[in-house]
Amino acid sequence: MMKRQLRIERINAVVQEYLAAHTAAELLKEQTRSDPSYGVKRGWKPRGGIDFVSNLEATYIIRIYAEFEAGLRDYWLTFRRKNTRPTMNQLLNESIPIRYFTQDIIDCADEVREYRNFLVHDI
Amino acid sequence: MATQASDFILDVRRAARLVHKPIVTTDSQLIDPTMISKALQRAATWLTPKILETYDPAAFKTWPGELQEELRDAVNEFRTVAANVPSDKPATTPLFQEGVRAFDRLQTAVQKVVRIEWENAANSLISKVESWAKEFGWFPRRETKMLSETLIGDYSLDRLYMYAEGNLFILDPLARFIPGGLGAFDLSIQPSFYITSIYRDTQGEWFVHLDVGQGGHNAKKERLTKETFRTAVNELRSLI
Repeated sequence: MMKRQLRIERINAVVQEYLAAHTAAELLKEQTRSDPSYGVKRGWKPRGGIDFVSNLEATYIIRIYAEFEAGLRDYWLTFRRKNTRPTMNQLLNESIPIRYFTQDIIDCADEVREYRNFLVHDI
Repeated sequence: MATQASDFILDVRRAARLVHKPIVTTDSQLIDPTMISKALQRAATWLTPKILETYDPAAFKTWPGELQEELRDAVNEFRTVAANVPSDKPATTPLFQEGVRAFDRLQTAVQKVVRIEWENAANSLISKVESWAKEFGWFPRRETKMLSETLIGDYSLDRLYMYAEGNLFILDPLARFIPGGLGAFDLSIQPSFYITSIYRDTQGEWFVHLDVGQGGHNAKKERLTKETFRTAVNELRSLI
């Protein structure tokens, strides 16, 4: 039970980090608008700043998902005592779901998995 | 509920999750997300007779005549529209619009069948557990819970609170659509995280998970009776 709470807290910590990064991105946008050479003075090109802002959400979706995946794999290894390494597709859709989950929740988690895979291969 | 009927319902549910998807968001002012969404939605992967492959009118023969007829008509209409969609290109605009209307009708017909059947089964379980609780000398109380599920939409069921020998237990409706079953309730002791599942298997029989202290996957599946329900309550109490 404690471990479950720990995993939830880790996911929440990444969400908090995203919110802080979002604020930092807003500040950076303002800074580079008033001083276009702001990044160059610090060793990075303007393109790096633009990419940082536009990829921010995707970066954190991937990180939050990584925490979610780590939690599921930990559950699989330590709680279910399995030494196999199923794909996330198998874990989400076949191995872990039991009657404590609604099918809608599983379907939503699987949609996030697909979107995360798209992001990983696209950005 | 017959397996054939369940398979057909699941196929329609899967299609229902695909209609009006995907929804596009963009941070570019040069891209119109509504237009892109409409273009992608026109791919209409759900607009195919394949979703009707498991439909067998005989699987619904225990249903009231008018429901069976409504479902049969909706299936036939959808099949006719879907059969006209070429397999190698998207549907034309009129065909797509016709498809959306036919699918809405199909979804409504299936929704009625599923919702009536699930509400009857769930209400009958709640009444049964409530009567057991009274027999045990507990104090059951009902409160309405709102639920929302793909295909069924918004609906309500009662949640049962039972004050039993110094503890509060809650029988809480979870969903009609669950993995490997035809509906589930959570049974929990409050305040705690301890919970067990009372669920309907694919044959429509109610079961309860015992030995939940070992985790949901190691739980023992027992047919739900007054005795196994009492055992589940006692096991939950022993965990706190």
